[in-house]
Amino acid sequence: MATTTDTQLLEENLTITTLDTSKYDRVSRLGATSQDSLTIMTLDINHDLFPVSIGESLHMVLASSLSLDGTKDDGRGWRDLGGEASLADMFDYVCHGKIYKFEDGDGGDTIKAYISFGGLLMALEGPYKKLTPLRVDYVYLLLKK
Amino acid sequence: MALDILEGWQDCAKVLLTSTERRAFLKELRRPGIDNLKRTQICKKINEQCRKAKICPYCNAHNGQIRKPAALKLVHDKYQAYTKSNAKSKVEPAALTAFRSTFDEIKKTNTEVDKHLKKAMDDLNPLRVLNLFKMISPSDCELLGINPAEGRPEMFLWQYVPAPPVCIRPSVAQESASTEDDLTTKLAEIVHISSLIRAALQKGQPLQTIVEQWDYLQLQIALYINSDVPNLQQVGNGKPIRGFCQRLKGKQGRFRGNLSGKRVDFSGRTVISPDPNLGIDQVAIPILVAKNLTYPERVQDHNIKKLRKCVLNGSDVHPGAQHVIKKDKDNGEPGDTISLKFPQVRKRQSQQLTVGDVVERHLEDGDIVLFNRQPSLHKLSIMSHYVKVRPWRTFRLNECVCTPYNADFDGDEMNLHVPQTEEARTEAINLMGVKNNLSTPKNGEPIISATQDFITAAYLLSSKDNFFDRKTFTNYCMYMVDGNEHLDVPPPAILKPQALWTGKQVFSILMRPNKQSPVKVNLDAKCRDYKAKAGMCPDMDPNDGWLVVRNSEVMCGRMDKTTVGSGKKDSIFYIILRDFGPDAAVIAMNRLSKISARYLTNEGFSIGISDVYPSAKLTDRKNELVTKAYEECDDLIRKFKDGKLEKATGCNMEETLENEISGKLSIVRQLAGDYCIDTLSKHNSPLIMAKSGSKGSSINVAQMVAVVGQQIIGGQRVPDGFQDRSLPHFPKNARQPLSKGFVRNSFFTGLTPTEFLFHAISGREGLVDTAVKTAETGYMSRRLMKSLEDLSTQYDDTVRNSSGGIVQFQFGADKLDPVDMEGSAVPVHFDRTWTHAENLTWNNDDRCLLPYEIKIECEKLLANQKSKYARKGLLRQEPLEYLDQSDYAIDELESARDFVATITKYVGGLAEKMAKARMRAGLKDFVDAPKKSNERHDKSKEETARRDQVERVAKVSQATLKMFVSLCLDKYAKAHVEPGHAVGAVGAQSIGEPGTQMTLKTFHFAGVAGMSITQGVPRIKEIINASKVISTPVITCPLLNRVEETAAKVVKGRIEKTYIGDVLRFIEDMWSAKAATMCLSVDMDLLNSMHLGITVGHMANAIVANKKLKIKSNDISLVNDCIFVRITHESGGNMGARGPSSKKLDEPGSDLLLRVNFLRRVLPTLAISGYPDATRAIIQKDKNDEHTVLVEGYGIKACMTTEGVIGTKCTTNSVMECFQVLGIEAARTTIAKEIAGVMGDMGIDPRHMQLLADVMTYKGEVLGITRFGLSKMRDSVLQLASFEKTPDHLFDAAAGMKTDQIEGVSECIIMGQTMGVGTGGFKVVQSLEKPNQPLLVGMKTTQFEDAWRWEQTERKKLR
Repeated sequence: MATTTDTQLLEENLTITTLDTSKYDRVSRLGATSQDSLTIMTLDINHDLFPVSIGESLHMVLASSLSLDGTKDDGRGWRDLGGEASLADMFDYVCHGKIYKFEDGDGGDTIKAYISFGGLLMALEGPYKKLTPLRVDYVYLLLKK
Repeated sequence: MALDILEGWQDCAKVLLTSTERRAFLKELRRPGIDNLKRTQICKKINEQCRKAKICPYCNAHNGQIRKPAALKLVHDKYQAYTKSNAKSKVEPAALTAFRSTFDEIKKTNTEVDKHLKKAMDDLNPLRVLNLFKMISPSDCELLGINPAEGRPEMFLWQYVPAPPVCIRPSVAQESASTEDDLTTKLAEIVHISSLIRAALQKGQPLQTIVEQWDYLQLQIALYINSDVPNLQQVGNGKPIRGFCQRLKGKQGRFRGNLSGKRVDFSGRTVISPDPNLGIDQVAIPILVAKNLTYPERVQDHNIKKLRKCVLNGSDVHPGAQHVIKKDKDNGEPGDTISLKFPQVRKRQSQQLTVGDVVERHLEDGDIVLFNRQPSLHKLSIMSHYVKVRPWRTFRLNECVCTPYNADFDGDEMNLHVPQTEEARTEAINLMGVKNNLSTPKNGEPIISATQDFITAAYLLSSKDNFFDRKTFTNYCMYMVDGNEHLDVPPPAILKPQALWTGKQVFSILMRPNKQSPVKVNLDAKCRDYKAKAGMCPDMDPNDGWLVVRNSEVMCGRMDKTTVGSGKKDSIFYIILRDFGPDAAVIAMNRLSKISARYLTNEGFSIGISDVYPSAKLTDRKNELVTKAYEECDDLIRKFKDGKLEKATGCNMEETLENEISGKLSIVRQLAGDYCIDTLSKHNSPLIMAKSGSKGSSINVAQMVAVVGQQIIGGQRVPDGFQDRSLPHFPKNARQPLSKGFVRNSFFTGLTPTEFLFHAISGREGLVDTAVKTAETGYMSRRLMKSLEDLSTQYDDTVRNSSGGIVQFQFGADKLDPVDMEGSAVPVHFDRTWTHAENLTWNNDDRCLLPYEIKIECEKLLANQKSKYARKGLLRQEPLEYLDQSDYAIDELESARDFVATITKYVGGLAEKMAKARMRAGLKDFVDAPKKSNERHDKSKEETARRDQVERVAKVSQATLKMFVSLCLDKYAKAHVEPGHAVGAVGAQSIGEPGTQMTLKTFHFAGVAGMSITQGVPRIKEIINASKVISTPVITCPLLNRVEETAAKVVKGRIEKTYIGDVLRFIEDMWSAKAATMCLSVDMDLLNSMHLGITVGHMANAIVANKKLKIKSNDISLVNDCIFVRITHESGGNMGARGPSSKKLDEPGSDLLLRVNFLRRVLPTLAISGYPDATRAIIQKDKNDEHTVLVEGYGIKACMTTEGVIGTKCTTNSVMECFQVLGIEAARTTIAKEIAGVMGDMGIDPRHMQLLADVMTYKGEVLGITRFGLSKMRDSVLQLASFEKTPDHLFDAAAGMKTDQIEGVSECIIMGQTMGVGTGGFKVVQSLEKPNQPLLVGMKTTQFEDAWRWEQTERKKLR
C-alpha cells in the first residue's frame, strides 16, 4: 500500500453487509461497515464493472488527487490519465465526484458526509475525527477488494 | 317612445314639487363639479318624490300612476288616490265627477259602458304628451336631468322619421331581383301607412279607422327602432326584422362585434403542429403565409441590399415584397404605392429603391408576430414569437408553449398577427414575448416548461442506470447545443475500469455547458413521488426521489414533472429564470427539447399490447380481491335487508349502505392498482409515463391492466334508469356491485355490454359537465374583466381606476407583483436563496463566523436598508422608534419593514443552528457576544477536529451572508409592481381562468353530518354577484371554552330554536260548560338541563307574544310547572279553521273544539328560544378535540352576543350580512377569504383576490360584479353599453345629455385611442410658463444651426 500522502483524505477497510440490486439493472446499492464498525458506508456502484457480494471486504480510499506525488491535479483533467503511474493503478474501481453535503450524526461525535459520483451516491457516517479531512470539494473514490 | 315615462307631471306641465323642494334639488344639481353618478341619483330621488305627490301644488290637478296597458299606450290613472283608498271618509273629487259625467251621453245609448266606467282613465296620446313636453320650463328640465339648451323633452318625441342613407341599409342585388334591407322595407311600410292616413283624412273616413291606422303607424315606427318591443304579441310571421336596437345589441352587434373587436388585416389562421427543433420563442410560418403577410420596412443604408433583392423577387417568390411605397413627395404628399405583382415593374423598382422608401416585404426569419389561440382566457393566450419561415402548411411551435395556449395538435387552429410598426414590435416582444412570460401572473409559477415527451425523456435519461462512454456522451451533448457552443466535458463519473459518464452529467451540461457560463443552479427539491422516510437523509432515497443540484451539477435525483415540468416552483427552469434571467431559461429549455426528441428517437419509446398484459399472478390476485369485495357487499346488503346495519351518523340506512359499499369497492381498485404498479416492469411504458408525470396517472395504468373500477354518475353509483334497477339485465332492487356500475374487467380484458354502458354514461356525464361549465365560467370571466379592466397601479403606488378613484393604496398592501413571487405569495424563498448564496461563495478557506457574529454582521448588512425605512411621525415628521406599532406610527412602509424583519429572522435561525451544532460538539455556543475578555473566542483552545465538525455542518461565512442579504434585497426590489401595470385585468384573468378548470361540486365538512357548503363555480358566482340570499349560509362561532363539550352544547341550544314541544311532558284539555282550559305541563328537569335560562314565565310570554294565536295575557295562568290556557268564546281570534268556509260555522260548541284542537296542534311548534334566522347549529370537533359551533343560517349579530361565544371572532360566509352587521371592511375581508376558500387549491395569489374584494367594496357598499354594480362603479356610457343592455344605456345617455370622458379601457378601444394603462399610463408634462421666461410655445431655436449662425455673424463683424 502506498504511503499516506495528504491527497489521501480517508482510507478504510470495510465489509459489505447489504446489497440491493433490485432497483436498477446496472447499479446496486451496497452497505458496508468498517472493521471497528464505527464507519458506515452506503454506496451505489456499477455492478457490471465491479461485481461485489455480501461478506466481501473492500479497501476504500478517498483522495483529492490521483497523482502519487501528492500534487493537485487541477487543470490536468481526466484526459491525461493514461500513461503515467497513478494511484488508480492500484485499484479496481475508481470514481470521480463531489462531496457536497455534511450532516450531524446521531450522536455528537459522528458526522455524515454525502458524495455524488455523477448521481451514484455515497453516504459515509463515522467519527468526526476521521471524517473532518473531507471538505466540500471534488474527490476520487478508489475501491479494491 | 322609448323614453321612460316622465312621471310627476300635470296639466300645467310643472314638476310636482313644492317650490322649497324644487329650490333645494336645483341647488344640489347645480353644484359645480358634480359627477354623473351623483346627478342620476338626485334625479331618481326627484322622480320618487314626484310620484308620491297626489295633487299638483300649482294647478291643483290630481296625480296618479302612469300605466302602460299595452305596448304603445300610456294612460294616466289620475284619481288613483281616490279609487284605491279604503277610507270611509273619502270624498269623490270634483274633477272626477266632471270626468265621469262626460260619459253620461254615451251611457244613454250603450248600456255596456257603465260596467267599464270605473276603468276609464286619461289617455296620454303622443300628441298630448308632445304638447305637455313643450310646456315644460327650462329649469324643470334640469330637475329631470335634461339639458334644456341642447335637448328639450319634446325633442325626444319623433315628429319626423329619420331615414338613414342607403349605405346603412344596402340592397343586395341578386340575379333577377334585389333584396332590400330590413330597414328599407320598414321605411316603405311607414310611408305607405302615412299615405293611407293622409288619404283617409282627406276622404273623411270614420274616426275609428283613422285611429286604428294611427296606432298601426305607431307600432311600425316602434318596430323600426326596436323589433322586439316588450309586451307586444306579434303574430309569428317568420323572422322578426332587425331594427336599430338589434343592430347595436348582443355579441354580434355593433358594440361588441364591430367596435370593441374588429376584423383586421395582416393576420392569419391555420392548423398547428409541433416541432421540438424550434426554439420556444419561435413560430414556424409556412412560406405560403409568409408571402401574404407583410411588414413595411423602411429602406436604410444597412438594409437596402436585402430589400432590393426582395423587390426584385416580387410577390411570388419567398423573400420578396408585395408593394413599394415611395417616400413622401417634396410637397408633403404621401408617396405612390407600387404593386410588385407584375414582373415588369420589379427590376426598375429594385434599381430605383432609395433610402426613405418603404418596402412591404414578406415575413422573414426574426420578424415579430403575435400568436393566439382561443379562448383567450388569460394574457398568456396571446404571446409574441419570432418568425421562422418554413415549408408546408401549418404553424409550428415548440411543445413547451402548449400549456399557456392550452393547445394540442388534434386539429387545433391558431391565429397570427403581424404588428406593423417598430413601436408595436418593440412593445410586443418586450411585454408579450414568450421569453418574458415564462411564469404565470396568477402566482408566479412557471407555465412554459417541458411537457409530455420531454418529461419522459428527461426521466429516462436521468436514471442512475445510464452510463455512457465518451463517444455517446459527447454525442448527446452535441444534440442539445447548436454545435456552436463550447463544451467543457466534465471528468467521467467512473474512471476505472472504463471511463464512463452518467445520465445526470448530461443534465449538468444542459444547464452549464462550459466554465464560462454564469448559470450555476442550486436546488434541493423533492421529486414527484418522493415520500419522506424517518431517519433517512432524503438524498439517499432508494427511488432517487430527491433532487440536489450544486452549481449546475446534478448530485442526485431523477428528473420528472416537478423538476422539469410546469406548475411547480421547484423546477430547474424556474430556478434558472429567477437566478439567471429568462434568456438562460429559454436556452436550457431549448436544449432539453432537442435532446429529448433525439434521445427518444434513438432509444424508441412506444406502448403496445404487451405493456398492458397482466401477469397470471395479478389476475389471480385481482379476482381474489374482487370476489372478497363482492362477498363483503353481499354481506352488507343482507344486513341492510334485515335492518341490522349500523347507521352512520347523519345518514339514513340507504346512504349508509351506499357509503359502505362505495368504500369497499374503491379499496378494491386501489389495492389492485397498487399491486399492479408494484409488479409491472420498470421498463413498462405506461408506467414510466405515469411515474414521470408526463401523461396519465397510475390509476389509468391500473384501469388498463387490472380493473376499471366503480363508475360514478353525479357523485353516486349508477342510478336506476328503469323501475328499481339500473338495467333490465339485473333483478329488481339489486344493490350488488355489478348492477350498480362496478366494472370488474380491465380495458385489456374488455368490458361486458352492461359495464360498457355504465362506463359510457359516466364518460358522457363528464362531457356534458365540461360543456355546461364553459358557458358559465365564460360569462363570469367577462363580467370580472369588465369590472376590473381599467384598474392599474400609478406612479404613487396606488391602484386606481381610469377615472382616478382609488381602489387600493398599495397593490396587495405590499406593492409586490404576484408574478415575481418565489415562495408561496412571498418574494424570496429563503432556504433556496441561502443554499444558492452558499454555493456561489463557497471557499473552504473562509473563516466560519460565530453565532453572535452572524447576527451582528446581518444587522450591519441591513442597516442601509433599514435607514430608508426610518419611521417618522405622520404630522410633524419627527423621528420615531423603528419598531413603534402604535396607530400614530403606522405608515406605508410597514410591508418593507416586515420583509427586512423576515431576513433577520431567517439569519437568526442560522445562528441558532450553528450554536446548537457547537453545543453538540462540546464547544461554547457564543449565542451572545462575550462580555469579558477571557471569554473571548480562542481558536487555539478548541480542538481543531471539533471545530471542523461544526464547520462542516453549519458553516456561515461572511461572504455567504453578504451575498445572501444582497440577493434577498435585490429580489424584493425586483418584485415591486411597476407603475401602469394593469393589475385589474391580470387579476380578473387570474380568477377567471382557473374557474374554467373547476368542477361543480359541493364540499362536505369533515366529521359533521349533513353540513355541506356550496363550492366551486356556483359559490364564486354567489360571492361576486353579492347575493343577499346564498344557498348555504354558515356562521362560525368560536367558543370561550373549547374543550368542554357541554359548553358547546349549551351554546348550540341557545342558538338553535327550541320549541315548546321540546320541553313538554304532555298537553291536556279540560272542559267546562262554557270554557275549556288547556294545561301544558313542562318538563322542568329537561328545561333546566338545556341551560337556556328560560323559565315557565318566559314561555307564557312567548305564547302571548305570538299575535296570530290571539291569546290574551289574562287567559294564561301559571301553576308550578304547568301553563294553563283558558279558552272561552270571547277569547276568540283565529279558530284554527282554514279558508272562508269556516266563517259560516256559528255553533259555539264546535267553535271551541276547533280552537282547542288548533292550539293543541300549534302551541308545541312555538319557538321559545333560539334565533329566528338560524336553521340549525352543529358542533364541530377538530382533531385536537376542540369544539366550534357552526350555525346554518343568518343572524351573526345574535350569535356574536350569545354567552359563551367569542363574539370578536365570529365569522359568517354571507358577505351581505357581514356588511350589514359589521361594516364594509369586514365585508371586504369576508369576500377575499371566501374566494380564497373556494379557489384555495388553484394556487391563486391572495393579492388578486384582495383586489377583487376591494373593487367590490371601495365605494362604501358591496357592489356585485354585475351590470347593476358596474353602473355604480364608473360612469361611462360606452363601457356600460359595450357590456350589457346596450340600447337602454344609449337611450339614457341621450336623454341625460351625458358626456363620456373616454378614459377607460373599453371606451378607448371603441374610439381607437391609446388607453391609460400599461405603456399608455404615463404622460409627459411640460410647463409652458416658467417664471421670468417667455412662453415655451412656438418654434424652438435649434441648438447647432443657430449657434453656427451666431458665430458666423460674429466672425463677419470681426472682419
